Amino acid sequence: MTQIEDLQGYRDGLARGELCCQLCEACGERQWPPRPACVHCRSFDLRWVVLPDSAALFTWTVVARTRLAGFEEKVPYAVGVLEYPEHELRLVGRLDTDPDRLEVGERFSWTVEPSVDGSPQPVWRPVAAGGAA
Amino acid sequence: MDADGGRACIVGIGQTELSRNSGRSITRLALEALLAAADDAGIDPVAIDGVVPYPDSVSAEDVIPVLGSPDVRFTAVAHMGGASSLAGLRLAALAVQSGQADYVAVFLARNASSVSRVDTRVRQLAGQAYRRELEYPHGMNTPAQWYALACRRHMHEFGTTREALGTVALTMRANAQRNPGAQMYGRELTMEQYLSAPVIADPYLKFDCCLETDGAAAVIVAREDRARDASGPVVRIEGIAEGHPDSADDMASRWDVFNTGLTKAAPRAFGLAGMAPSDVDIAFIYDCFTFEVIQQLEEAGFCGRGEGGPFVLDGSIAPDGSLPVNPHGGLLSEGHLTGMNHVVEAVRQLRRQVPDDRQVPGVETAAITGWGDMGDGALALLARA
Repeated sequence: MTQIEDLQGYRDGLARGELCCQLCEACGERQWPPRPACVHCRSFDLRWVVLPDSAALFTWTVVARTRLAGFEEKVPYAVGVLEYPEHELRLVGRLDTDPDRLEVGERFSWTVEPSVDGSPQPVWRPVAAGGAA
Repeated sequence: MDADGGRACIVGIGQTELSRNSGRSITRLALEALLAAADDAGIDPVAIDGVVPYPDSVSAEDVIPVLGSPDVRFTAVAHMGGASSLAGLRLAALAVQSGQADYVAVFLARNASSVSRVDTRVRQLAGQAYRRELEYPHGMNTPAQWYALACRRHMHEFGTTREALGTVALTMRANAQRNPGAQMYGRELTMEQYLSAPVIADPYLKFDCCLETDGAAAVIVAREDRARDASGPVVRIEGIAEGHPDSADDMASRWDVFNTGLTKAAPRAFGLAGMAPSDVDIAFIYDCFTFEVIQQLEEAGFCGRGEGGPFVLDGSIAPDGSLPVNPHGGLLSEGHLTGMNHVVEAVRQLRRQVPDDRQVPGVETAAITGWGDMGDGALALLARA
């Protein structure tokens, strides 16, 4: 019998073009990162739900040196922590924007695109001023 | 931490040279440090009946045959990344106080410069599935990058400046100029050089990041009544504690990003020791990166949260400041033996065994912080007996 890995639902979401977190059926809370059980009530009854289109930049770094395969030629590039205050969730995301013009609180929205290894991954871009999302 | 026979003490210290390329195995390095520590403690290595190695490196079994004890009674490993050195010291203290062993050796050996650099070492830490699937695909895979996120947020919330980070780097480098054993001995650093160095992971520049080092360090822990033959004054472990942050396996999702393991460990250690931060004469802060010094000064209670930048800019951490920090040069400029070199230097300072120009005058108490993984922490409080 095949073991279902704890992050399988996340991978499945990306394959559909969706960035998903877990929602606990027992207590109704969302959680990140994905875990085998709910950190709020310890229920195993979790399902995967799509995260809202946009989030606020909480902090970031600009990577100028790396030995990580596929990223050596992309430096400098920005990686940020994106925040959904309404759910008390924060997650790491690649920021496709000018790394010299980042600001805490700036809104970014995600899309799912092929990453350096071809796998579908979320990429975050600034939400145009006055735009939707 | 009283018990029959007295408190747990550090009775022996040993350390190899710190280099970029040791030219010998990590097991050999470990044994050199361990045998030096036994000699310093004035004991036959056969008497070492407890061994606490650093995780994912040379094991207890690797060193026991040469140490020669016919009956090692206690081994344990703390898995707390860079905080494992202090967490291991705590395990040793607990073992000798409870009578589970008489002489416990705590050691670390690494060829981290010549062989196992940081981006390979971190693949042994907690939460690997998160790193592999939720960070690597976005281009993030090193501690410099993780902690840069916390640094940038601290700058945003509290106005912490680039000059504050630079002051930490320059203070450690200046300290190393009084330590001929430091990797950066003879290589002074100016603010201009600091500011013009290449970016590693903004806001971290090259000199915000600690060194990579080959070498080993060891200490031997015993109860005070077994410390008679030690070469120097006995150093008591007055209080020692570990702490784990919320979401210990994932830093980015931690809601209070500055509430780390040290935040929880520090009050415990001070409570055990019956001390307050103001009672500490000298501090050894786990300086993996410049900002982590500022953050740990705050979370250990040496200043308030958000006040760490002004604290270092005021010169408080300089040798003549109110709280001298890392007089040996620290991980930033002496070398990176994951804080075991901090423990060794703390004992040397408390024993007054360093040259006059490096000795902090009148030292009676020392604090040592540990920092590792995604914000695990520890605090040890030592004192001259």
